[in-house]
Amino acid sequence: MRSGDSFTVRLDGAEVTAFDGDTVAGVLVREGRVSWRRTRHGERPRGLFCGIGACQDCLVEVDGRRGVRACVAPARAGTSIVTGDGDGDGDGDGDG
Amino acid sequence: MADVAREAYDVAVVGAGPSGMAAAVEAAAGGLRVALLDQSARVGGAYWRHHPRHLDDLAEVAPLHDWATFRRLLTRLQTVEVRTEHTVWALERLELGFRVRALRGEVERAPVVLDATSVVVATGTHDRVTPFPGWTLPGVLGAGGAQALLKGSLVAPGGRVALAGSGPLLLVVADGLLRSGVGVAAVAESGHPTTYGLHPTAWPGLTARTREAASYLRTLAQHRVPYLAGHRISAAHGTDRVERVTFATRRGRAREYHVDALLVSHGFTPQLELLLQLDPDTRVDGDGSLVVRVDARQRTSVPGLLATGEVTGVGGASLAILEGYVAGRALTDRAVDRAVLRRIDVHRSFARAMHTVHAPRDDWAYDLPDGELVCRCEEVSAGTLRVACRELGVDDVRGAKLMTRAGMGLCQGRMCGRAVVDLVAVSSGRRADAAEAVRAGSRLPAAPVPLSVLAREALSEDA
Repeated sequence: MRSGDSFTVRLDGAEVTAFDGDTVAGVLVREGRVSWRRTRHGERPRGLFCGIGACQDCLVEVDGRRGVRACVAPARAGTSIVTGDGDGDGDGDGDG
Repeated sequence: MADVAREAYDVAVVGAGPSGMAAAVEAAAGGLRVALLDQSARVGGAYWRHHPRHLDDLAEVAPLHDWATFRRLLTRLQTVEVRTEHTVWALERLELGFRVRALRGEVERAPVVLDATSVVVATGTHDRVTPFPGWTLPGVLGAGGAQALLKGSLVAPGGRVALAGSGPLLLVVADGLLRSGVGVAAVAESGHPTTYGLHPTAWPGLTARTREAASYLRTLAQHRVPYLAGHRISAAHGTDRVERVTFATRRGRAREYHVDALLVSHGFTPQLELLLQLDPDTRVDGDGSLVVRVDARQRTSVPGLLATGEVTGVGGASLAILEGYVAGRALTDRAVDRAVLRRIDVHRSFARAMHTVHAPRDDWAYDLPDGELVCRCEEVSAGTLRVACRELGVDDVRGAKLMTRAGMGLCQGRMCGRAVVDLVAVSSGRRADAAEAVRAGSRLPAAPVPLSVLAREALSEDA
């Protein structure tokens, strides 16, 4: 059901296909992921919830930056997505 | 400091959905220098999330509402400085105008500062999801969010889904999913849409809306999908993801469905975080949402600050586009055609009826089991909040935050703010009031900001 340009991104080290207009969340859901992190206290699984950038549930590591909103970040050729960061702090202040 | 260049505009429009786009192009047509900022990679908002490269596929699965309008606005955006992938986290008043602080790139997060004489806030809404047992399970997500995923990536959050909550959006999303081959188990609407006719304010807008709803109901019927009016979510069940949902009427007649996703919308929550930083007059709308007060030209009580679309009252994209147009004209004191004002009236009247037919209820706050979370980020349960009210003397949202950390997590109370207000009010035996909703929603920054950026920009103020 897809047309448009496709390209390759890395998901947990494996090459997967993504399409023009994809967000990182679009890639994750298409690959069958339902949750991709665990909460800090209860270690509860979390994935997409609000889907439009408000809830911070879908945080994931992208290109080495933690705490990225999967539903906002665009997927681009070569984008590296790493799931499973369970600390959920999402502060992404690795540059600080 | 030198590394944060500051640029000056006549107008900064925050949010590039239908309303923000309309405001920006109309302001630019009046000769103003306009910047249009949005956190997404493309303009259009959630409403026009469709990727232009996929239109042939998309026409099948997601109706291209007002697509001609979108194309027209897109062409006219050439006169506007469009800044996608800009997440605005602060609006500040200057002696003359405003300072807008943003982060460029969801991954890069480069600080951007720009000044503008006027600001138009058109930040829209997200799905309102009131807590129910199992609402934090993966696979439970906002119906509008699911639709954005379908439009933007042509992917559905599940292979067999149910939709629940209240409002016209449930039918729109169910229709799109069915057209794209996704199995829909049921649509549970807690209200009774047949009562629209009882609200005279709805009548002028009712014919068009009824025709649209009828086409969605036809799609449901073709696929033998039950449309359950008067049914609420009893629970979502599963271990690490949703596997089963139960819906029930008030009298307790229950139905159960096996699903791999539950899409929920109990109406919408206008995104007021940025507006509240500037302390404009607000009001509680008919659907219980906190919204900003505007005059007939979309001006808030703060001089130079305008607001359009859902942040001024949930009423849909057609209304939001017209309000954006009015704001764009107001910025250069141009008149607005009376026919436009009449159309706005029709939309707002219909919205009033819609708010009543699909009115949110607070009975969840009595029914939610103690073990269920209310605040998703800080993982604060209903039981913890009730104990705080009963034994620690908490009787408002501020006390609840201090004693339980509810609303102090990464989303800064966006998801749970209203729920905490309702639950604390119910638990301490009083009614939730508007002022409390303001306190629950007012927060700086409006997005998580790296400490390095905060430090750098604090320094730049002193330099």
